[in-house]
Amino acid sequence: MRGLKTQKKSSSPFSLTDEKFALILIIPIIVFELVLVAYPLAYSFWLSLNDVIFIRRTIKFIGPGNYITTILDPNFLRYLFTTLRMTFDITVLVIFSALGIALLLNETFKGRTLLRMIVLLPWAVSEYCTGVIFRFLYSEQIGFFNSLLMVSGLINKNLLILTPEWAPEFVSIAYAWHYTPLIVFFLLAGLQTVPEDLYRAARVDGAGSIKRFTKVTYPHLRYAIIISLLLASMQAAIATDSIILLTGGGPGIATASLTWHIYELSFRNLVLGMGAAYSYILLVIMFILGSAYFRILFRKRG
Amino acid sequence: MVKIRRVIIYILAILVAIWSIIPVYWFINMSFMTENEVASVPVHFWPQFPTLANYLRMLGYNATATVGNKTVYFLPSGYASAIKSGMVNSTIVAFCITAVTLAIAIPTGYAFGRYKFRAKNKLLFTLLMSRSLPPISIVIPFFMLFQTIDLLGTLSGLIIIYTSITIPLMTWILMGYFATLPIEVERAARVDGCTRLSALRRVVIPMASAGIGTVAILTFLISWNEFLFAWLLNAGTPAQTLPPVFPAMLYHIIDNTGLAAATIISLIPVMAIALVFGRYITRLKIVDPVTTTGG
Repeated sequence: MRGLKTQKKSSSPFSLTDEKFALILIIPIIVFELVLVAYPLAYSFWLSLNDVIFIRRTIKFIGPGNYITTILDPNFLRYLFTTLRMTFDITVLVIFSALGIALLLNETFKGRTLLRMIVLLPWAVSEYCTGVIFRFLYSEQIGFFNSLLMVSGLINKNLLILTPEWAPEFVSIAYAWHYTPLIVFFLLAGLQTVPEDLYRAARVDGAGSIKRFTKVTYPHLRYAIIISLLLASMQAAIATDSIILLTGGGPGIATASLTWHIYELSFRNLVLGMGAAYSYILLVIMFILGSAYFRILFRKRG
Repeated sequence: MVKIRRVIIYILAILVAIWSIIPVYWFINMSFMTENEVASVPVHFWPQFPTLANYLRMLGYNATATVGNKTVYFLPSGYASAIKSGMVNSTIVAFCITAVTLAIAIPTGYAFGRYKFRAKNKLLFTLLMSRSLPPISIVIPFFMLFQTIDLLGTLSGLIIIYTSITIPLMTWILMGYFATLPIEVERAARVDGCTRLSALRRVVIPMASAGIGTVAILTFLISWNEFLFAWLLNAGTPAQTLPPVFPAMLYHIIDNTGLAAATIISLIPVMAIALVFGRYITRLKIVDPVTTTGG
């Protein structure tokens, strides 16, 4: 990027170079990062090395004790696996449905503008409201899906939808419902960069719609898809609100992800040191995903 | 062939529309029913005797509903005052957070979008990472901290912690937006003797007003929709915003129709904003504004 080249020396007494001006402008964000990000993270790390008893307000230094307890926790791998499973489910659901909807919205048909507005709506519904709403869609007694199945005569007794086996998938569907629109519009922006001539040429050459997608659309969209994959997985890995309101980590610990377990430890059992230790493990995972995302974002531009 | 393609497109469009609307529709449906009708098996797909009673009692009024030829009386819900004060508090927080976020994100976004400087990429990476920090990890140190400095359960505490979500994201978006603006106008202003700061104020910000407006709306939406911090830091205090009302209703009482009405009340502002400003929001590349910056 070129900086502003000034043809004339500024007459102001604060005659600055571009770089100095930029550095002055970013002072607030540096203060912000130090006070609201770096300090809490450092403090949180300090907490993770302590035994924090919230009710008695005592803090006792125990070194890596919390981390050892965490790794020795028989359920630790289960929480990690649940997080990975739901992250995988959500990412797959979001990418495929977003791609399908984006391709649909890229066609010209009557009512397309209306459909665009409708598709955006789930994104305006917050994650916690999504949790509340889907809790009632899935409900055994008064749920939408049970009512639908019963009216269509497929079942005659209400089904339990959130079973220990499949609850993570159903939570993922709810989250994907809320999160898909963002990716739809990102992919749609990517689709609109594909030159129309290429499609015409491919059609003249007799390429079917599948071939047109793999040979023309996909190469143009690959970068957008990779970015969406990383972003969706980063968001999915830290999904919390929907789990809290939809299942509360249940049934049993079927949907207890790392984020849910951090919440449970810190704010139900009030062992904040343990919660902080778990947080740091999650942070490492996020850091790896974030680094990959950043690299791909900037690699394209060299 | 072309005709079949048309038909398939319309069928898919209808399916997508249904899937997007059904969950909210189900709650609207429930909110117009009485508790007895919700309990019927299978639940009706539209209310048999639609009533506004749930909305009225959730907002603290006495209400009546006509079911068949009977009239049923309802008392105001115990959650009415929490809902009303929650809406006021949510609105205050949302406006404050929008102002604070813009004040910091505009200059920073401009600096990132326009200039090259030392350690820029490192700073961008820090910004990106702070955008993807799990809120549940951030809340623990803030909880302890606010406890010590008496900010727990205050609106200012909530505003401070919300900036940790909104500022990195909005800076990131504005950076992409500023980079797309033509540089020539700025240059002309500088030639005419504007200082850098007045060029930013008089030329760049007016040019970017559409982008800044959209970012303001987005900040408002995020603040209104945030749940975890509001719940863990402010639930049960006078500074409680709207979201913490929902887990309380969900876990402590069985009032399905009231819950549905309260949810719809909380969704009305954001739904309206999404419908009116949706076009602008989808035009911003929220996911990847970097692709629009040059060099």
